[in-house]
Amino acid sequence: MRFFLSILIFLSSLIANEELSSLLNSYKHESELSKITKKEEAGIIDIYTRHDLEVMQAKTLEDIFKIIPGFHFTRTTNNLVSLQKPTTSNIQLSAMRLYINDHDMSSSSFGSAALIWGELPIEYIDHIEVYKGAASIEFGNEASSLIIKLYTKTVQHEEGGKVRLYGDNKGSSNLDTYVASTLDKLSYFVYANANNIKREVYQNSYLGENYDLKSDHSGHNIYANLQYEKWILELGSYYKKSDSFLGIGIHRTPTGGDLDAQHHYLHLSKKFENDVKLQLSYDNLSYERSYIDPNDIRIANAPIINNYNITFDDEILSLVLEKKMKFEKHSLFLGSFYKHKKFTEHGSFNDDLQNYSYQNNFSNALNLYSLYAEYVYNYDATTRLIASLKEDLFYYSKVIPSNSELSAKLGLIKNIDNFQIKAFATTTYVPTALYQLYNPDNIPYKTNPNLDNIHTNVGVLSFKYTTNRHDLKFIIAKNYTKDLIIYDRTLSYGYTNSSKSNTYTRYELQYTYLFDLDNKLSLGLFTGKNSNNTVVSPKYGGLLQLFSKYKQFDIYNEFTYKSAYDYLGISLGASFDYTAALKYHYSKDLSLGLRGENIFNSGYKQIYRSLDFEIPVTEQKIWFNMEYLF
Amino acid sequence: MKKTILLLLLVPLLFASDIKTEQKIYGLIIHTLLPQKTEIKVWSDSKSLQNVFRLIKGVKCVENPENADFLLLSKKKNIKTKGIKFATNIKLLEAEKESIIGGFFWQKGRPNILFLRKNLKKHNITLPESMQEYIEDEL
Repeated sequence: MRFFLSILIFLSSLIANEELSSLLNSYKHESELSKITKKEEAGIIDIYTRHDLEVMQAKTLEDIFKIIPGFHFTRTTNNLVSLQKPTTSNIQLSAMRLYINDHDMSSSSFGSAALIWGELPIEYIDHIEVYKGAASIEFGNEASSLIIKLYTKTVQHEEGGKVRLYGDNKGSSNLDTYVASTLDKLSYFVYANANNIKREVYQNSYLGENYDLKSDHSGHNIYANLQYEKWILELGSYYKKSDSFLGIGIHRTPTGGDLDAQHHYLHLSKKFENDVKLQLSYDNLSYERSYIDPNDIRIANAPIINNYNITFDDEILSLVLEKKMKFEKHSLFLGSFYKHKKFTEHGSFNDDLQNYSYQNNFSNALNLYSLYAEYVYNYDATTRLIASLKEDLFYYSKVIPSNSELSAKLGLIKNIDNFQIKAFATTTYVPTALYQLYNPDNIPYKTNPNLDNIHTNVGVLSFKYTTNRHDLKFIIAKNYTKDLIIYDRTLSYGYTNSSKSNTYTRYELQYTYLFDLDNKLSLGLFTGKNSNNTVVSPKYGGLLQLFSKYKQFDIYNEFTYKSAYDYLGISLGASFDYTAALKYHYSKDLSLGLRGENIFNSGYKQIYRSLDFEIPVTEQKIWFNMEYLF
Repeated sequence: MKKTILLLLLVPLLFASDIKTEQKIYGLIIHTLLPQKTEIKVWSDSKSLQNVFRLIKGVKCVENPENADFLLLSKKKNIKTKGIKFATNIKLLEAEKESIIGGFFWQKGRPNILFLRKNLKKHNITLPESMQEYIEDEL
């Protein structure tokens, strides 16, 4: 027997080595960090793995927003990226929260990260998780129904460095670089980016004059992650300057204006041995916006103006303490946080003839306390029950009444052979942004300190069938929303809660076929219906992705479909966006790539009020890409 | 083709059915470096790495590094042994390049396997043709 085993091992050692490269590839896929970070209990997840992002040659968050099933990616009149649910207009800014690792990137003033971080270059991001129908309790932070979690690359996997350069046929350029190393007990990952992104300039005519509609942006980003034993210190600093696109003028005739924004943050965290996690963070944000329009800008409580300058300076101090407890069949997650959020506004508004000139300056602050708990009970090997509760207490420095909000979630995850059923029922709210609550002058917009938060009840049901190769998922989500915030400039306080409630039902079908680890096909179809029966964006959407590898080539094909829609008297036919990427691995360390976006220029277009033509959201572009590892 | 068929038949016999890819890789490395041994004594300076050896057939964990044929090291330096030392990170491999035979580690966002030619020679080990691409003269 020993002799036979000896022969067996000897022969195997000789020939099994042929498998080593494929085993390494399997190991790489098996070690995807998304397998560790994803939280099944948090809701319905879409994951964009590192492999996906690399094959796609994804550059910025926009490339991901564009393909999130259940949403249409769009651009607002003032050049911010946003999302629409089928048939509806842009989602409330604070309904989407963006995290980089555990850090909430939202500003105090707007309760959103999209204003600054929406076009973030993502070369330092390892993978992305998108949670839909979540309540935020699992992430120990402020309430939100759409959570986008970006996880940075780790020093443990990166040891070394990378340079990535890309540019497009319109003159855009971008440089990313990072280094990662471990020095005894200290390890570091440091990343830097500089970008200058050009977009098509469109022209709007008014009274015989042509006005350029520009939407370029440029900026730089620095991120550092330092680890010493179980302490982690993160530093982030992002600067962005972008054109104001259509601006906010009555006739969409801008002659200037831009956004000058920056966000710096420090985030310190430590995991103690008894599963206690402590986090301390500080954010400093500045959002300086100007609009110039010779053909009039309308603001509240003032005559028509031409020059609009407003700056919001935010400071956020945050302390989070969490503990996890695991028992044989149960687990309990307890947490609390305190946040101090301050915002200061400076504004100056005037017309070209200097008949009207006004300046204001005000500030307010919020002390936010939160307690939350999540209980998971593993009834048996196939059944998991989840219950979560969160109480948020809001105390403002001035004028705005204190209030509190309760969020709760019940969930069930049941596995039956190859089937998985997930059911979640959540009652939560969308926090109202400070800029909607406080402006004592009510110039340039009116505010309402008594505004209630939007309240929403969400029911989500998902059915999944999985085999080694197939993954089929069907999702039904129903949102009941009340206290919707609308802006009515005829009212003395502008913002008000609508007395009408709204029900929105979303259907989503996703299918993935895995040919092998490097080759897969994904198909997604989605639609939605709101109880108002209004249609202001496409009712149907579809996505087909094909990830392939052939010898030294990574190949990516992406088709997005949006159905026809009418809005503001303009009829748009169905749109098909074909995007493809080809990457050649010259060696293990050097690769060259091409990515064509909206190749046939037939992708989704956005209709804007007071503009008699539509504008592509994703432009027809060819990107050249070079990546070098050292 | 014959090799491939043999491979398909034999490789699974070296491992238990629920073995992870990481263990398969270590199993292949250990048995390739020590093909003549029917029972290979292994040791690691990390408890979590000791778990890697579980389910690899023909391998036995020992308490004393001096008794080990194969040592998997994550941080420990200057271990005197006649056994084969193998590193799990590039920094240790760089620091101990005179004695460590190779490493399996993450670098540049991917898992890497590397063997140092001069240390293979010291142990009179000849790797099969298919593994020559993992041999380096210098780090």
